[in-house]
Amino acid sequence: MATDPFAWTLLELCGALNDLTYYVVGGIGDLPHNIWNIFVATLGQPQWGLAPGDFTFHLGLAEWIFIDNRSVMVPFIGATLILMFTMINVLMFIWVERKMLARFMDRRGPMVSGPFGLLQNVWDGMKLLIKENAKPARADLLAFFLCPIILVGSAFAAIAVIPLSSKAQLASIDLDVLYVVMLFAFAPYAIFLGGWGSYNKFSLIGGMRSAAQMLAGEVPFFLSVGGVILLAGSYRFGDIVAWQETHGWMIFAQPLGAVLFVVAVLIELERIPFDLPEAESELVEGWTTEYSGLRWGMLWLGGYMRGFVGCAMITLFFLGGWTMPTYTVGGVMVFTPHIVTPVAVFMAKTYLVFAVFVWIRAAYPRLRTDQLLSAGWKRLLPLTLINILIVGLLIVDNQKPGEVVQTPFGPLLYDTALAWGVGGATFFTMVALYSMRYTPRVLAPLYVTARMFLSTMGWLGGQPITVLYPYERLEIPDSARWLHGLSDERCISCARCCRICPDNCLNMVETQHGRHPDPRFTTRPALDANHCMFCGLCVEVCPTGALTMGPNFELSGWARDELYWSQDELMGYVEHDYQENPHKGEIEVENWIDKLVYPLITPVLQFLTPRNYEHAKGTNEDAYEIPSVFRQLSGDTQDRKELGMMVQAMSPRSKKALKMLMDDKKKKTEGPLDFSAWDYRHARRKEGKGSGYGEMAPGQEDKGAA
Amino acid sequence: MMTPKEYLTFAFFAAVMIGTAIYAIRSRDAMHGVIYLSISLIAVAVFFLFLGSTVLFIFQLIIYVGAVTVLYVWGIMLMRYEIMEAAQ
Repeated sequence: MATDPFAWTLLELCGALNDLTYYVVGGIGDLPHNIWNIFVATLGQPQWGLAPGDFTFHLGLAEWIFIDNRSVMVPFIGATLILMFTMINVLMFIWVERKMLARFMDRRGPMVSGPFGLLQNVWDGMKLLIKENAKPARADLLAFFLCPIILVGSAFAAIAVIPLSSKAQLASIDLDVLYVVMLFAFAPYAIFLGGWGSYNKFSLIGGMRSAAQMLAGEVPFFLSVGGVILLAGSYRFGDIVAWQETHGWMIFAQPLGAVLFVVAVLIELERIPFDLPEAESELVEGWTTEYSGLRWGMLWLGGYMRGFVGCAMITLFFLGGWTMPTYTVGGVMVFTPHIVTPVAVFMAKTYLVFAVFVWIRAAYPRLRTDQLLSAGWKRLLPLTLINILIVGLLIVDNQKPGEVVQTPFGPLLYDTALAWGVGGATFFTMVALYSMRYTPRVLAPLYVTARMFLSTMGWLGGQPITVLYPYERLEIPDSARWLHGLSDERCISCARCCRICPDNCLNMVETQHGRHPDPRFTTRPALDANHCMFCGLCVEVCPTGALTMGPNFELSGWARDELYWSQDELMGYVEHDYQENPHKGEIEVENWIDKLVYPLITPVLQFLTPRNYEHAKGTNEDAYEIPSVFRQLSGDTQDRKELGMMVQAMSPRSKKALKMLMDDKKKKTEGPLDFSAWDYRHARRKEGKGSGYGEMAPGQEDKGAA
Repeated sequence: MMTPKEYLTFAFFAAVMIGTAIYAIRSRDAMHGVIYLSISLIAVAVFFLFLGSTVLFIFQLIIYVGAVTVLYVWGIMLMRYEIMEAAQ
C-alpha cells in the first residue's frame, strides 16, 4: 500500500527533525565514516540500500534518509557542515586579505556592508552571480569550461582531507598528504587550459607563465613535504600532528624546510611576490582575463580555497596543527589547550599564517620570470635536498630514546636539538667555506628583505588617509580657489573677466533684478563651470576685486545645466543647490576596531619603525629642509660644519632629493640660487594672507616680463 | 566474482578510457588530444583503485595527469598558435 509521501503528520515531521538533530550531532563524532568510504561503498559494495523495490515512502523521506541510508547520509551531512564551515572561513580569508591589505596601504578596506565590511564578499558574490557569463567568440569551449571545473573541483577535493581537529576530518585515506599534493599538481594543467582556451594573448602568456612557474614551484613543494613525512613517518595529517605533540613543533626540527615550504606554497598559490601569471600591470588579469561573471567568481573562490589549504598545510606540518603546547611554571599549568577547542586553535593558527601571507603581499614587489625560475630550480630545489639530508640526520639520532627538553613551544627531544645544531653548524661551515665570496650577496638581500618586512609592518598602524567623500569632507583651506563668487556692489560690468577667460566660460548676461538703461548696471558675468579650468585669470584681471574664487568645489550634477551658474547664483542671491555635507552621519565611518586597535598598536609600531611615521604625519618638513641647505651652499655662509650637521639631520628622502637637485644644479646653472620668491610665498602662507598663488615677491614683478 | 554493480562501474570506466583514448588519437586539435588523454589516464587510475591500490591511484594521477600531461601541454605551447600571428 503506497501512501502519499508528502502527507506528513506533525508527529512524523517532529520525528524527522529529531532524527536530523540526532544524526547531525552523531555525525560529527562519526566522521571516520567518511567521503572516501562513501565513494568506495557506492563503487563496489552492496551497501547502497536503494534497490528499486525498497524505494517506498511508507514512513516519509526522513526514514529513507536517516534510517535506510544512515551509513551514507550521516557522513554526508557531517561533510556538508564541515564544508560550509570551511567555505565561510574562506570568505573570511578574503575579508582578512582586503582589510589588512587596505591597512597596510593606509586605506580603510571594506567597511560599509555588514559589521566591519564582513558581508562585502557576499555582495560581491551576488554581483558576480547576476553579471553576464560571457565567453570569447573564438574561445576553445572545451578548454575554457574545463579550467574552472578542474581548479575549483580540486580545491574542494583538497578540503576534504584537511582536518580541523583530530575528529573533524571528512576523509583520511592514509595518504592525505599525497592526495593534497596530487590535487595541487592538477592546477598548472587547468590554468594552462584556461589561458590557452581563452583566445587572448594576455591569457595565453599568463597561462604559459603559470605553467612554467608551477613546474618550478612544484618540485620544491613536493620535496619540502618529503622532509616532514620522513620525520613524522606517516602520510596522515593526524599522525604528523601527533608527532609534533610529543616532539615539539616541526618548525623547530626543520626550520629550513619550513621556510622552503612557505616559499613553495606562495609559488603554488600565485601570490605576490610570485603572481606573475596574473601580473596586473603587464597582463591585464593574466590567464583569468576572459573569465567573467560567476565563472570568474568561482576561479577567485577556488584560488582562496587553495590558499586556505596551503595555510592549513603549513599549520599542520610546521605549527603543531590543532594542538597547543602545555607547559608549567612552578607547578602551575600556564596554558591548557583543552579550554580552547582544537578547531579554534587550528583556525587561529591558519588565520595567522594567512595574515603573514598578506603581510608578504604588502611588503614585496613582483619577481621577474627569470628570477622566479632560477629561484625555483637553482635555489629552492638544492636547498630542499639539503633539508632532506638534515632530516635524515635527525631520524638517525631519533632512533635512540632521548631526553625530552621542555621548551616554551612544547617538549623537544634533546637529541633532536643536538642533531639539528650539529647538522646546521656543519652545513653553515660548509657553505661559508665553499662560498665565502657569495656571503655578502646572500646576507645583503636578507637584510633588505627583513627591513622591508619590518617597515611594512609600521604602515599597518597608520591612520587611513582615504576620505569617504560624500560622508566625510576634508577641511578646506582658506587658500582654496575653486568656484567663483561675485560681489554685486563692486562689479562694474567691465567684462574683462569674460575677455581674458581662455575657455570662454564667463559671459556677460543681463541680470533679472533691475532694468537700467546703462548696461554697466544690468549685466554681470555668468559662469559655465562645465569647462572652467580654474586658472584664476578672471580673478587676477578683475580691477575692483569683485570676482573671487572660494572653497566650493561641488562640481557634480545630473545634467550640464546644473553646472551653469547664473550671475544670481554667483552673487549669492539664489541659493545654489549645494549643502554642507548632506550625508553626514549616514554611516559610521570610524568603527570600533579602529578605535580599539589603533591606540594599542600605533605606539608600538611607532617605536619600532619611527621613520614611517614621519612620512605618515603629512608634514612637509622636507620642503623646508632643502632650500635652507641650498642657501648655505649658495654662499650666504661658509660654515661647512653647520652645513654638514644640517644635511646629516635630514631625512633620507630629503637627502636623496638634495642629491638630485645638486646634480641638476651642477648640470644647469652656476652661481647662487635665488630664494626670494620662495621666501616671500612661504611668509605669506604663514601669515595666512593667502596661498601666495601667482604672487611675486617685491622687486620681482618685472622678471617675467623681461 | 564481480557483482553486477561493480561490473557496470568497471564497464563505464573502461568505456571512458577507450573512448577518450580514441578521441585523443583522432582529434585534430593537439590540445584537445591532451585533454582526452588526461581523462583516459584518470580512468586508468580508477582501475588501480579497483585493484585496491590507493598508492598507485594517487601516483598515477600525480605523475601522469600532474606531470606528464603538463609536459605535453608545455610542448604544445611551443607550437604555432594563430592567436599570436593574428596581428600580422
